[in-house]
Amino acid sequence: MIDQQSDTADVLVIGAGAAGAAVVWSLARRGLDVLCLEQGDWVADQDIPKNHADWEVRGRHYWNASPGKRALPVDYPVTNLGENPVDVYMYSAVGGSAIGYGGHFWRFQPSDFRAKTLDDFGVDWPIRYEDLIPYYELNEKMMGVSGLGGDPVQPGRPSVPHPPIPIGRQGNRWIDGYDKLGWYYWAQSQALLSEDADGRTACVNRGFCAFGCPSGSLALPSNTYWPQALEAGARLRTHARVREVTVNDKGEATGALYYDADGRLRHAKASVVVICGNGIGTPRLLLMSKSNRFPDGLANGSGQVGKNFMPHVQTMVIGRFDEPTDADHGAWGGTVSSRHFYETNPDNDYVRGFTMVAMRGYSPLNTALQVAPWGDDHHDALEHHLNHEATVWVCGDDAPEEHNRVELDEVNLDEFGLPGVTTHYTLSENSKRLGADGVRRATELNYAAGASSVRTLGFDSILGWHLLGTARMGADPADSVVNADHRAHDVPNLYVVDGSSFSTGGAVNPTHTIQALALRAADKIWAARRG
Amino acid sequence: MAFDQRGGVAAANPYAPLMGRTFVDLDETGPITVLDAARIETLSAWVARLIPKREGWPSAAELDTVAYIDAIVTKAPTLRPVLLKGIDAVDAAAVSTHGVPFASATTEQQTALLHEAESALAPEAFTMVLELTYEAYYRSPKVQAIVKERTGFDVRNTVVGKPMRPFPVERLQEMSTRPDHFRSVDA
Repeated sequence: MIDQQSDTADVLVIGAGAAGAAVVWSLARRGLDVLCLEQGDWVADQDIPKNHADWEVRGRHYWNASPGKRALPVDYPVTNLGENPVDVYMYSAVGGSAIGYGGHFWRFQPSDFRAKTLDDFGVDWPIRYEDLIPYYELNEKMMGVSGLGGDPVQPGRPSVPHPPIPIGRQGNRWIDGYDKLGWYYWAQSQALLSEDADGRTACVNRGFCAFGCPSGSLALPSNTYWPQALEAGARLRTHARVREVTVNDKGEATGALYYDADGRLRHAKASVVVICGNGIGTPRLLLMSKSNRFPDGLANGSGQVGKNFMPHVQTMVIGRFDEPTDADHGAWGGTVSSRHFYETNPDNDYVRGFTMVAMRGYSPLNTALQVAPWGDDHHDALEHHLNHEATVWVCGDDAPEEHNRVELDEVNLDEFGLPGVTTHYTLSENSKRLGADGVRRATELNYAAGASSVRTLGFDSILGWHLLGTARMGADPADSVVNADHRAHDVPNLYVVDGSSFSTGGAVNPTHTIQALALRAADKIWAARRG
Repeated sequence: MAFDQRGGVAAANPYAPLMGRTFVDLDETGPITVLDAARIETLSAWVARLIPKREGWPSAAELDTVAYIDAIVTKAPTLRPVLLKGIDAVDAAAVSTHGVPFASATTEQQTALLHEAESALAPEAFTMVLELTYEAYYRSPKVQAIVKERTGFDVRNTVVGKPMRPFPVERLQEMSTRPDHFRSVDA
C-alpha cells in the first residue's frame, strides 16, 4: 500500500553520488525544489576505515568495495560473469561510489569524443570536448582539485586550482624512469587538497585514500556539493530504495515509488526525473520500471539499456625495488602519470590507447594476501615485498559491445525482493592486445625506474571501479538511450546522468567527466524548464 | 577487491558475502563460544602452520586468531558448519593417516594435511580460515609494531599521516616545453 504522504518536487533526482550531487546543487541554487532519493546513508566518522589502525580488515568487510562481498542490507546482489568477470566496485551512500575512490581527476581528451570517426571504434559522442571545458573548470573549483596546468598532453587546461600533491622518493623514481624512456608524463591531477581551502584542510599524506579520508582533504560529493545543495534548500532522503520510475498515460515520468527507511512504500512526484544510479544501478532501475507502455523497461526503445558495459581494460603492474618505497605515506591515487600511449598509433596491432598511473605500494595485509604464501616462507615473502613495491596502474579504452552487459537477476534479490544484477564481460581482441601492450609498457617503466622484478595482477578479473556505457548518449534513438542533453529519447522529462551515459569510456578515471556532464545536464534541464 | 585476493585473482570463496558483511572489532574478541576445547586445539595448530613462528615474528596462534575466527562465526552462524566440518575433516584425516589428532602431528604431517585440505578435503573452510588468519595477524598491534621494525612500513603513518616535501615542480620544466601530444579534432 502506498503511503498517502507523497513527496512532491520540481525535480526528483535518484542517487546522491558524484553526478546526483552536482545536479542537485546546480538546480537547487537556482531556486528549484529538488528532492533526492538515496539508497544508502551518510558515512559516519567512526565508520571511515582510515580512522582505525585495522583499516585494512575493515576494508575487506563492511567497507568492501564489492557489493557482492560486502552484502550489507542496503546493497543489492551483483553477480559478475563472462570470460573476464568484472569485480564490480560501488557503494550505496551519500557520495555514492566516490566514498571509496582515490581521487584521480582527469579530463577526457578531444579524441575520446570522436573514436568512431577517428578509429572506427565504438561510436562518436554527440558532444565535443569543448562543450565540457566550462563544466570541467567549474567542477575543478567545486571539488578542489590539485595538479598543474600546462600539460602538453591536455589541451585547454592552463591552470589547476591547487598545487600538485607531494610525490616523495618513489614519485621521483618514477620521473627518473619516464625521463629515461623519453615518454610524456605529468603531475597527477587529483581531487585532493594540497593546501587548506574552502573550510577543508590539506592532505596529510595518510595514503590508501580509497579507505576513507578522515580529514576530508579528499573531495567527496558529501563534503563539496552536498553541504551547499542542502543550504540552498535541496532535500535529501536517505535509506530510500527506489523500486520504479512511474509514468503516466502520455509516457511521461511522474516520479518514483520507493521504500523509505521504515519500509513503507512511498511515491515521490516531480515534473522532471533524473536518474543518477551509476552504470549498474541506472540500467537496473530502468529495467525494473516496466509498464504496459514500456514492457522492455523504461527508455529502452532502442534495446540498449544495460548494453555496452565498459569497465576499462585495467590492471596493476607492480615493481619490486631494492630500496624502500615509502609505501606507508603519500596519496595513493598517483604521483606522476603518463598518457604517452593514449592516442591510436598506426604501428600498433590495436586501436585507441591507455593511461599509466605511477602510484605507491601496497599495505601489509594486502601484500600478504597477494604474495606471501602460507607456511614457512610467509615472513620472508612479506619482508621481500612490503615497502619495496610500487605499482603502475594501467587503464585502457574498451569499446562498447552489446555482449558486455548488465541484466536483472531475478534469482538473487535484495532485502525488499527487488532483483539483483548480473554483469557479463569478455575482453575483445582489441582490448586484449591493448592490455598486453599496457602491461609491457608499464613493465618497461618499472625497470627504467629501478625495479629489480615486476609482477602483474593480469586480466582474469577486471578491476571494476569504472562502470560505464549502459544507458549511452547518442544522436540516434535507434542505438542510444539518451540524447546529447541526457534526456531519454523515449521519455521527454526523464534524464540519465552518470557513467552509464558515456558513449565510449576514454582511458582515464571517469568521475571528473561524470560530474562535468552532470553540471552540463543540469543547465540543459534548467533551459528546458524555461522553454 | 581484486587486489587483496590471493594471487590477485578472484578466489573461489562462496562464503565471501557472509564473511564480508561480518566485521569483528579489535575489542570484540572475547571468550570463545562456538569452538570446544578439542577444536580450539586443532584450529590453533592449523593457524600456527599458516603463519608459523619465526625469528622476530610470532605465530598466528600466539595472537587472538582463534578467538577472532570464533567471533566471526558467532556473528555469522551460517559460517559455523563450514568451519566446524573443516576442523573435523582435518582432524579425522590426521587420525586416519597418522594415528594422531592434527594438533599432535609433526610439522611436516600438518603441512601435508593442510595442503590436502586446501586442494580437496575442505577447500572452502581452508580459504575462510586462511583469510581470517591473515586478517587477525596483520591487524594485531603487536604484529604492526614488528612490521614497522622489520620492513619500515609504519601503519601509524597511514592513520595520522606524515609530512612530505612539496611536489618538485622544477622537474616538469623540460616536459612543459615539449610539443603538444594529443590528436586535434575538428570541431
